[in-house]
Amino acid sequence: MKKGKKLGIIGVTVIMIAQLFGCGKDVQETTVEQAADEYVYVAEFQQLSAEGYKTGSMTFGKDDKVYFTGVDEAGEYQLFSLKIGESTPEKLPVELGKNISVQAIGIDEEGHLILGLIEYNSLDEAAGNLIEKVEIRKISPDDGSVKESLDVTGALGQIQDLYMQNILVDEEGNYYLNNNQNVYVIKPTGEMLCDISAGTYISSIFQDKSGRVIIGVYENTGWKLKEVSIAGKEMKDIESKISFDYGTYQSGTDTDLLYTQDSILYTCNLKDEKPTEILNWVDSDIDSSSLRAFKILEDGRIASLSLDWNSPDETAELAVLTQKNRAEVPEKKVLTYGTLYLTYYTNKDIVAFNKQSDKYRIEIKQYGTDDEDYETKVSRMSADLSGNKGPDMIDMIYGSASLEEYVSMGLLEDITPYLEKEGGINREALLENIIKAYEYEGKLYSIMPSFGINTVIGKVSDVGSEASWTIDDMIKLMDSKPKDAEILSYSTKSSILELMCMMNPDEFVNEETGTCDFTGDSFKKILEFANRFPKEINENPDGQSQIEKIRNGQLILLDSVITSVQLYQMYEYMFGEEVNFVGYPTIKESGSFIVPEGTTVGMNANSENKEGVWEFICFILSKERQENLPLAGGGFPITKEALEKQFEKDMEAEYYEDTDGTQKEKPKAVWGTGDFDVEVYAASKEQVECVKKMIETSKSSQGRLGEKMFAIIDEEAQAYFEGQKSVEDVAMLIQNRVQTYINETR
Amino acid sequence: MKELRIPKKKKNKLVKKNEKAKKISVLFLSPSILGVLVFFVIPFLVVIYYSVVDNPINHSFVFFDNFRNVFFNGAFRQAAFNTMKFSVIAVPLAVILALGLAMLLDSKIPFRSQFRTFFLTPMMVPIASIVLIWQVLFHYNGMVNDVIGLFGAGKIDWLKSDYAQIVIIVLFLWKNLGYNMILFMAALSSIPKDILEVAVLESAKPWQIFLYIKLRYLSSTLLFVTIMSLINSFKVFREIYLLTGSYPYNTLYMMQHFMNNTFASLDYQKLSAAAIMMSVVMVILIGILFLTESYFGKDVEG
Amino acid sequence: MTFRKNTLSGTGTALSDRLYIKKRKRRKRRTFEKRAIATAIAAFFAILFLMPIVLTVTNSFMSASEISSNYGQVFATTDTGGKTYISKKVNLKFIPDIVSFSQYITVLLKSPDYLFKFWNSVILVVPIVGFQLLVAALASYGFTRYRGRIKEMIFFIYIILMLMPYQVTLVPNYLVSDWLNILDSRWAIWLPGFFSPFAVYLLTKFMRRIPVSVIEAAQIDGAGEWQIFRRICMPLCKGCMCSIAILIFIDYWNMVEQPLILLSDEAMHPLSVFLSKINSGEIGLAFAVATIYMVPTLLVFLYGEDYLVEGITYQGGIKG
Repeated sequence: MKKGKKLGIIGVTVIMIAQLFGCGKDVQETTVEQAADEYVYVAEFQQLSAEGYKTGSMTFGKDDKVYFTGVDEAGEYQLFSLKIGESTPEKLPVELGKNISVQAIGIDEEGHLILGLIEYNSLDEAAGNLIEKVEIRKISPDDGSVKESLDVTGALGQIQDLYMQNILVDEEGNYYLNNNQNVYVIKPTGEMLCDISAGTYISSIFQDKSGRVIIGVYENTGWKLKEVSIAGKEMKDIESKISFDYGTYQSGTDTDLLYTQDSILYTCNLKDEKPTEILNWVDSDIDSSSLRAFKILEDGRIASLSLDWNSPDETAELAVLTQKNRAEVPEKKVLTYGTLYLTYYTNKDIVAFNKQSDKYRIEIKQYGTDDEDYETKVSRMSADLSGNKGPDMIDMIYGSASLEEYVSMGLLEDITPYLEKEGGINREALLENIIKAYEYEGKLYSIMPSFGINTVIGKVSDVGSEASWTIDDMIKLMDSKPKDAEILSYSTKSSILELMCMMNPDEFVNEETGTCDFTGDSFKKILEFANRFPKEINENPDGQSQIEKIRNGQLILLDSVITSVQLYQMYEYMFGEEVNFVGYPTIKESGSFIVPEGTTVGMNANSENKEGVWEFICFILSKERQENLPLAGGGFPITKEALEKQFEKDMEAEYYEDTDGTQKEKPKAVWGTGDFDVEVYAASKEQVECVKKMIETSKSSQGRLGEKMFAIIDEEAQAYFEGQKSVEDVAMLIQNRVQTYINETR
Repeated sequence: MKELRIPKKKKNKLVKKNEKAKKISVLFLSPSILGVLVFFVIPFLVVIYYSVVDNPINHSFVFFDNFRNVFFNGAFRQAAFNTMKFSVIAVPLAVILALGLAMLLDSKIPFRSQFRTFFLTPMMVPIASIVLIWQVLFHYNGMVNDVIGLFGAGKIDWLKSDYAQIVIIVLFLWKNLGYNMILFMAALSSIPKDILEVAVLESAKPWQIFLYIKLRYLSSTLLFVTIMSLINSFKVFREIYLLTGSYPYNTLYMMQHFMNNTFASLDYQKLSAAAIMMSVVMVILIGILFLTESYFGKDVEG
Repeated sequence: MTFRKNTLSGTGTALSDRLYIKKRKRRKRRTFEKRAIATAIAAFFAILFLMPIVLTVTNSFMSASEISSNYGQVFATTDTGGKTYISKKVNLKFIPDIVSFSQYITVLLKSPDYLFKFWNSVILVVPIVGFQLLVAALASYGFTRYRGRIKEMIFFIYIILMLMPYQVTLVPNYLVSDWLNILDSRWAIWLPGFFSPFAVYLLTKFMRRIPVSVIEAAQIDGAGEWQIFRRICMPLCKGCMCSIAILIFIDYWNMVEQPLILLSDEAMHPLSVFLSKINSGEIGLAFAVATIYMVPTLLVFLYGEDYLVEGITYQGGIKG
């Protein structure tokens, strides 16, 4: 026995010592990182191509040149090259027919350009885009002379919606083209060697040092790198100790790959234990989400090509980054932006602000990484805030606490005085009911740059044309419909319960006396009402799409966040007749509410750079930013002028000339949910009025029932939904627990 | 007895030496005092400071406003009441039952040392297992309801009814009895055997022996076990929390819930004021315990 | 009715023995019955107390799927992180359907994450145990020698600090760590651990029961304070120190809150943090991890249980 004990202890000790070696390494690596901190990459920017330039393909060549397609002064579609460091691009004399589109530009070992060309019957989308010819053309990068031309119409012409995203060539001269989910491998002779499907969208394709073609895909289990194996006609998993995640991947200069993940540029070999961090794009004022390509130049500088699909002008930008000593770079005041989660839009706003401001630079302080659990992140951010170490700006949407909590801590600065100052933004210029969302006890703590409206949509013939309705109305509607009809899309007992509680907080909680009443009839009514809904979302049991169900009368209402007039138009199409944003049913009054979107900043009352924070707020509310909000999805702008302009734009029809010479209205966008597509044209005055009315009647969602309170309600309600406890018992338990919560928060 | 043998001369020397030694003894204390000062006292002073300002950002002095707010806060009162109730029931139970178990094992039953080890095992079990087991046992659809269902009793929602405190007390006892028991066993074995024998000779009844001899010798252990149980009674919160979340049934809502939640919602003024009130109660409580001990335990120490 | 040790020493032993034997014969039957009942009670409690540990170990040999089908719903959480309602009957299951080592294989071989976390626990806890004892040994000696009013006051403050729940001190602790620039490093856990008043309290309680005469005798023989501490006091405290070490070890081995707040780098978190927030996704491995996590505690117990029993309260060994 004694001996056994000792052996055990020794055994454990040995394991621990063995592990100690593993830990020694970590220490060394951190020192390297610190050294790198002394340097910073400073970017010089250059717009690619001339006026009128629209999206195109672009790539870095073997030589320090960028190749891209664009439109020249004469309006001709051309291939250009630009030597990095020079300002004017040169035309590459390449014969491009009238209806040919250069879809992908690849580079082979010798530095030749490989062009993936498709010739259509017409380049105008409205005319149908029928493919006439598909060609792979190898040209010289210097004079554009054709080295080889391969007609692959036979191999690829029949593929539906063919679009070449990238083109690569391997040692044997096989071409790899990818199109959404598939990789097509073309023999040097032009026949198809194989067609391999990744089963999901291919985000990146590149070659490693040994020439293997690797794709990056986002699968159910997460981000994966896979080798395109011709031999097995399959995508083979690649083993690596590095945990790759969603990002932009491409071939490295001396390494297997160069990639950007979470706005950091890394280089690594697939066999490495850890990637080497090169830089953070944000530090160089580059928005990593619009990066298309990047390259380490021979002199160590780094070049990047960005193209922002979301910006209205869609201009490509070349940036050349030079490493400089931090001391050499002109000092800017640093503002910190604290958030739990950095959105795409916020990243963009910050990068754009940094780029134009010579006084301030915003640094992002993201609390925790994506794989950490929410509570850890929250507690870390809370600790920072209460410890007076908080960031200058607090993300009000993805922050660690609610507006009320921040205010009770005295953490937020009232921005009303700033709004009254000359030269900045004026309160009158903003939509008053939207501003109110961040008003609390008579003070204003933040302004959301854009917003959406969360509402319920139904046919006027079902829900009437009032701006609100009650639970009784909804029950009546339910009873009037067939039993198997789904009343509200994607709703469950829990989600309905949550909505009902959120919309009717005053019914159950009396803020003034600090008491709650869940044992009354109105809450029981809500419980019983919620119980009429399904327990779980039934994912299309009969394979019917949402639109089919609506048209068949099997789905009555939809709830959605409306962020543009175009969405309204789409819903009108879905319902097939006039619709009304009636909102969620309430016991007393209306229920459409405001959802903040975009970079919503709270000013830390402790910040030493309040002026800088205000400058940033002004920047995101500036005319230029407000009028150029990301297309759709970004929400309605909060400035009245920008909103009006947006409405005008929505109502303005655009035309194109059809092949027969007649003027036809051009669709503004194509919307759909996957089951259907609808082309959206200029909105009618009535449609815009309807959206306006909805915006005007919407309420702020502040001061509604808290998340914690609902968590309690939901947990207890399950016992009733399961049929294990009576409504009364459940209501009593909820009353008991919620009262504790309310008592505590008082 | 040895003191008597010290020659006078040497005793004088001893006094001088004492002065120096006193200073040295402070040296021994210094690392700890320094560390405690930095990592415990200063934080505590910060807590006091927080409790008298309006918020950690503005730092304006509000005297006892926070205390008043907290004192009249319904949740605080509930928490204070529950915590007190829990401590008043659980701590004495933990002491008495542990003493009972110790005497049981003291009565020379077979497999004594095995039993002793078994009783200690709850200290080792990781919290995940504990939470799982208690959840499975006491849930509305759990095992205990299954068992009492066999006897025809109706289902009880153990953790969400007035039985909830019982469940928690059982959990607390289960975790801490073993250790308390060990402390008592050690103390029991240190009672001089000869005294017990004489008592038996003098025909003292067992309860007399227990009351007048054992308990006296155990008094300082009793105090110690009580303090340790008190400490541990605060630690049981983690299990309650994982079992029932931040806002449990109201009889389970403890002081630590109040503090944990106010901590999570960044309300430090409230937290600090509550903490200080709690410490004051604690000082009084421990003070009483010490006084009791010195009153009862005097005659056996020496 | 008070008994003084002195009144008894040296007399009556033989007499009492004789009488005792007589009485014992009469009581023999009753004692046997009593003992049987006592054993039964002890056994009953033992089973109750042992159940969780047995369950943890046996369940670690279940396959992940068996576990999630058994207890999955207990640990399921809603999208917002709230608890879900356990709607079906749950039962503890002691014996696996099929004995499987898959949990261990995953934990030990496939995902080194758990071993790293285990190792994190070790590096966090072992120094704390060592240094807290060292600091406490010195301090307790200081508290024991030449007790004065000031020292008593300080000692009382120690007790109060020891009883503070962690929620109270966590924020200030965070601030202090920040001032000292040790936040996000292990020092933020180590340093408060080194100076925790807990061990000081226990050890002082013990030392104060060492008869003063023992120390004074050494003093008269010319020993300095350090020698007395080192040569007299420490050897006497060995058992007690061991038992305190066990307590400190268990306490810190199971810590959850401190690392969560003070160490933002999850790579430094100990395994206990992981175990405290098991969810349905990880429950399949939880029992193997828990079992592995119990091993050091078990070793410490097996090795130190005797000390735990004899420690803490002073029982002499040196008669005054």
